[in-house]
Amino acid sequence: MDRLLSNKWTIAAFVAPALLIFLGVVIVPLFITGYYSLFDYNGLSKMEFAGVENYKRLFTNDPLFLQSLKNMSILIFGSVFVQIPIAFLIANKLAKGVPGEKAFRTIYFIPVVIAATIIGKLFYYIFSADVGMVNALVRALGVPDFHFNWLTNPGTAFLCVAFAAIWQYIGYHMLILYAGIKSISTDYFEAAMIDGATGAKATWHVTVPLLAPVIKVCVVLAAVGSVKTYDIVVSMVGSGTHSGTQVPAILLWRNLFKGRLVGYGSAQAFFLVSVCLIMSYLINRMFKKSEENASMS
Amino acid sequence: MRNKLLAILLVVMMVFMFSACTSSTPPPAGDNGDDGNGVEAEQVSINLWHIYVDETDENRVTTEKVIAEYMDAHPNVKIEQHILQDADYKTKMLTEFSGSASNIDIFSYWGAGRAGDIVNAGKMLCIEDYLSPDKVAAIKHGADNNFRYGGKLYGLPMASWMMVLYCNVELFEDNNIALPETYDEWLDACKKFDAAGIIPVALGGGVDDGWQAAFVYEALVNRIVGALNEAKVLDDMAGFAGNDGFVEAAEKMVEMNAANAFGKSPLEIDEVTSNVQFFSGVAAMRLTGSWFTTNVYTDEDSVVAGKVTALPIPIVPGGNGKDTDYVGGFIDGWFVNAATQHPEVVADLAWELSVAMGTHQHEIGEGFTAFNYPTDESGLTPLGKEVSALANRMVDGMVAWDTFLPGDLADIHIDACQALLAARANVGAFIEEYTKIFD
Repeated sequence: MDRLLSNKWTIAAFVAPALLIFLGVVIVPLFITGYYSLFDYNGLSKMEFAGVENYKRLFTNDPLFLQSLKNMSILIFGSVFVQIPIAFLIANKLAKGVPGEKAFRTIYFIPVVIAATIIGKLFYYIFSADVGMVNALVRALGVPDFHFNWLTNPGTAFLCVAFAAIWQYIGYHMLILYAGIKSISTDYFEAAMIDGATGAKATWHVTVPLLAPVIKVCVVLAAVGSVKTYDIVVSMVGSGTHSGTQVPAILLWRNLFKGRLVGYGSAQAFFLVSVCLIMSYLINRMFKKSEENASMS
Repeated sequence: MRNKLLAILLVVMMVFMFSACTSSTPPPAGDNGDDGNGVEAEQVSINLWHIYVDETDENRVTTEKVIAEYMDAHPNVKIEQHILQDADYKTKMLTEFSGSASNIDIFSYWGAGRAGDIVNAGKMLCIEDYLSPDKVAAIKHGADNNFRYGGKLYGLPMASWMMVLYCNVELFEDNNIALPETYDEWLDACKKFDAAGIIPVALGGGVDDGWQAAFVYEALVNRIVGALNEAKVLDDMAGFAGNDGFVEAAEKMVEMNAANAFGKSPLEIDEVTSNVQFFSGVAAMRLTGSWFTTNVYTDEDSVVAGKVTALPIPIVPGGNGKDTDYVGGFIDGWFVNAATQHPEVVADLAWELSVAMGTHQHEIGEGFTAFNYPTDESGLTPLGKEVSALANRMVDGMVAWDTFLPGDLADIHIDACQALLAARANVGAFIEEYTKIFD
């Protein structure tokens, strides 16, 4: 068996099916998208070569796309610097042992298993001006005529959406970090305790460094997930751009499928894939040293 | 040797299994699949696509009736329906026609710009080539304008629609408010209803029903710019920037919204919700297409049957729009894929559907038939009669912009109109956006 598995042809035979599927459903479509992005094409017309015009338009003549990049950045920032820290605090608390640990773990994870469209609708009923809980609460607190359009006011609409999107995946990262913390040997904490480090100090100097590889995974998932955000926005505020809630994935869909701008939409798609790849690379580079330190421990 | 025998046996078994799977079952005895002369007619399978999702929708009922009758009259024809909701449908059609659209023979679609791209790509059947001159002559003058490309007929209109201001007379009387004839009276009525805690005009312009917001703008443009001038700008894709009427229409829409004419959150609700607001008597007015007429009587939420009157869009004094201008026209119709294997049969079916649906919409007061065939208007509801009378005095019309403009521009139009209903509406930015589109 060992001889068989060390044969390169055998390895190639085992890898080939998955590799072919990956090539067929990821790599080839990606190159086709890149190819289309160089043309002026509506899916029905004759393709006319446009060079990098579609890419130039992204940054010079499409304020909606620039707004969507701003929104995407808010989501990435919120996911990395709000969602993951909260998830870490919960995971750390649960991993140290609290009564009902398993129940809490399950409860925090529930939003993750609910479809984003349902979460979107739940938050719609929280922020809706007419039937929402927030306005109702303010009215109950003594402002009977209070009426604020949280979801359609350009100043608040995207913040409401971002709040819902960030909230939904706290449980997801909590579970990953919880598993990571649980896998850290208690020897480290005992040694830290002997050295006088307890509580927050031990968390900062022991848990966080040793958890670096896991935190890196969470950061990559959160950042890339923010770039792909689509469903929760559509279910809360629709795919319109009137209140400044557009994200790149929505514009991409509108351009490709509704607007028939196959060339321009493909440029957006290719740009987004590039953003995801570059972001993953940079995050990996940033965590390289921490990961090495963690693996030496 | 044994292996070879085994292989041959396996091949024989596979051939047998495949032939068993693919062989067609002959029609049972007595099934009339012949052409009337004892010669078996070719079996024809047709894929028909449409958007009439609601089973109680009169268009859905008529479509299914025509399909059933057609299959009864032509036993060799089998028609399979495929139904999708409006937005998904538009996406599906574009995706299909980017390829061969081999699964589509006949489909309901919109003329002018929307069908234009498919026609220009050479993927739409020139239906005129498959219709007798008598049939083509039976189409009302002008009804096929949005279905002709290069002078040739590529689709069949069914019926015209018209924008109507439906008013709950009971609410007007109870609150001592006069039915509006001019813009100022309309705005005044809205303010009074808002003060009385009643939603003045039910409008679900949010979520993905932005066309409702666009309706308000188009109504005001119709009255300020005038239907013919408006049509010229859209036809030529020029002349928007120098026309102050487009600016005034945007300003009036913002003014109405500021007066809570469309409730306090028109961008938060969709079309269905706004319909319910009107049907349940919570809202006093509803600005929408004449297809709404029957629903006033048949919708399960409706408590307003018999209490509704139909008004034209209020006039804007000093505007170029005449009181015989209207928003609407012939835009929905049936089209045939150029790649269909059975163009004669499918074109014939498209004709039957168009005539039947046009006639039925006319007879129930939802629309006005595209054909010079007699109709029976005895079954019209009182509201249907009112709408019909209103339509009879209209002269110049312009269809909804989102059905006229190509897809990407239609989206920009809808987004811009929705933005006029949002907080911090900016007419300057709105006009700038349109100037980019048109000029």
